[in-house]
This record gives sequence, structure tokens and C-alpha cells, in this order.
Amino acid sequence: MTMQNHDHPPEERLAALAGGDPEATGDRALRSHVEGCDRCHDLLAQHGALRAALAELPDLVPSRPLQLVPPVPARPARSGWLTTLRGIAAPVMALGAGLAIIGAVGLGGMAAGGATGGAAPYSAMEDGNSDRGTTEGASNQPGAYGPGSVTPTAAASQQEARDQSNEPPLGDLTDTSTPLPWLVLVIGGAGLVVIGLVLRFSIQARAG
Amino acid sequence: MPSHDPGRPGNRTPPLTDEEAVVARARSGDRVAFAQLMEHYQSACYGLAWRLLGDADRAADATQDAFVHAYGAIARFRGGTFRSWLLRITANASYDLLRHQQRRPTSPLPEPDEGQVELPDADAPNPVAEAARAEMYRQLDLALRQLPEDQRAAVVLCDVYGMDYGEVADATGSALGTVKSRIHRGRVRLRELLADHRELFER
Repeated sequence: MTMQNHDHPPEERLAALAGGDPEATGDRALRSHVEGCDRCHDLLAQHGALRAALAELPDLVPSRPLQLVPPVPARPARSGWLTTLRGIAAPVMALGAGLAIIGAVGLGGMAAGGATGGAAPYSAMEDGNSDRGTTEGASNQPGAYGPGSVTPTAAASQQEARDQSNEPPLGDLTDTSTPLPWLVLVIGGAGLVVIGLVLRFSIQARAG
Repeated sequence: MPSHDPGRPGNRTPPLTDEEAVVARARSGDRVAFAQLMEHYQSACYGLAWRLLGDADRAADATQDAFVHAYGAIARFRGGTFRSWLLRITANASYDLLRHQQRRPTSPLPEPDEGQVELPDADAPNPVAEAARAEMYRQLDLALRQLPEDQRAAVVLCDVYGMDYGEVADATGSALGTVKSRIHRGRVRLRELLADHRELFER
């Protein structure tokens, strides 16, 4: 180690040798040069000391507390369920309100019909029935057209008068005169509105 | 500059005494076991991230990202050293952050805060040696920060955290020959930067 060889290898080769790089450690020319060169021997020692120091650099304390475990993944699933309910609540309320309004309008229409022209058809029905009964009674007695009886021609003209005044046929009067379908619509619609409100407030309570 | 882990000055985090059992529980979904592992190795992970990124906040972000990735991947852990596995994940998370930062306008690394350097422990058995050791670590970290980014990453991963060439190539997304060249040139540059502090490294 007394001879000085001025044809030195690049320092990168010495750094590789210090790090135990297989290619460098297998380079016999490099190793024999380092053994005979004070400068390269010293550089190799410096690189060895540097690597040893780097290998013992200590761990560092984090600058802030870290979350050690990610949040439980069940939470997004719950929020998805809530989102679905939140989407359902508004249409349910809208549908309920619409049905209730339709039912209320129907009931109002019936009440208005009962107060004004609604009684006429019913009285007309009774008149018609009595006329028909009289007519049938007369028809049971062929040729007996006495006072107060209605002839077939007169009955036909009465039927025409009913048709022209847009009176409903005698058989449909029973269906449209009952308020039950309208009441069902009103009550059902109100019920849907209540269900929608319950859904909405329960979602807010859970989310909050 | 962050303080060294006060519980283990001058040392690395050793494995847990019952590490294999804790890892097995964490692999089967035990969140408490996973938290125990992360708590044990958080200083190691943060130290690596800080030396790669050179910034406390981003190092904490990278470490946090690494924990999330580790949680998703621990079921696929197939033995070996858990510390090395977790450090590889941390290196990848740090490098992802580094690439993201390079796509955006960059700001130079902040100057190290001298006020945060941990003072040597006066109650240590040999306070003079402790002070010299602390100064050596400080000079090493300062010199590492002055290396070009690619050389710093290669030297930190290989010489500080003991990864082989292949692992460094995987973490940095570089070719094996490129990694070797960066490591060797980085070591040379580091020696030049520390030439005035040779006495700190001679024992």
C-alpha cells in the first residue's frame, strides 16, 4: 500500500465496491488497485464509513398523529341506503299529495252537484220510475188508456227529453253518486304524505 | 428537521416480539392487530417518507396513504419481513406523491428548521458521544437533502433502508442500470458534501 497509482478508477467504482456491488467486488483489477493505492484505499474507507452511518440513521417521530386504521367500510353502505330512502321520500309525498287533491276535487264536485242540479236527476229518476210503472200498468190493460195514464208515444218523448238534458242513464247513477272512491283517494293520498314525511324525518335524524 | 424517535435514539424500530402472530391476526381482518403494527412501525415509515420527500406534512400524508394501502393489501402478505414489506409500500406511496408534485408547479424543499433538531440527552451514559452521534445524523440528513432528487431516493432506499437494486427499481419505476448509476453517483456526491465533517464518521 505504498505505491501511488495515478491511473485511478472512477470514484463511482469505489462507491460500488464499498456497497458490496457484485460486479465491483468481482473486479480483481479494481481490488488489487485499491490495495496498492493510498488515495483509493482512503476513499474506499470513507465510503464504507458513510454507508455504515447511513444504515443507522434513526426513525423519526411523525409530525402529526396518524390514523392507524382506515375507517370501517360499512359506513358508505349505510349512507347508500339512506340515499335511496331520501330519493323515495319526496316522490311518495308528491304522489300522496296528488291523489289527495284529486280525491278532494272529486268530493267537492259531488257536493256542488248535490246542491244545484244534482237533485233534478234523482227526482227525474223517481218521475221516470213512476211514469214507467204507470205505463207498465197501462200496458197490462190493453186498450185501457184512461185519464192520468201515459201513452207509449208520450213515454218516448220523455226519454228523448232526458237524453237531451245529458242526464246519466238510470243504471250509472248508483256508481257516480257514492263518495267512496273519492274518499279512498283522499285518505290514501294523505297516508302516503304521512309516510313520506316519516321517511324524511327519520333520515334526517340518522344523518344528523 | 423532525426529531428522532425518542424511544430508540440512533436505532431502528425492532420487530414486535410476537410479530408473526400479530400479522396473522391482522391478515384475518383483526383491526386492533393492524393498528398495533402501524403504531409500532409508524416512525420507520414516516422517517422514510420524510427522507424521500423532504417535507413534514407531505411525509405524514404519504405515511397515511401507505397505511391505507397496507390495510387493503395485508391479506395478500405472503410472509417475509413485515417491516420491509411496509417500507416498500411507504416508498411507493411517497413516490406517487413525488410524481404528483412533479406534475404541478414545484416549490423548492423548505430549509430545515434548526430549532426542531433534537438536543442530545444529557442523562445518557456518554453525553459527548451522544452529541456527536446526533450531529452526525443531522449532517447526514442535511447532505441527503442536497442531493438531486433521483439520487437521493436511490441512496435513501438502498443505503438507509437496505433495499436491493431490484426493489429500488420497482419503487422508483426506473431501470436497474439507472438505479445502480444513481446510487453510485449519489454516494460520491454525498461523500463530497460531507468532506468537512469526516471526523464525525471516523470511529
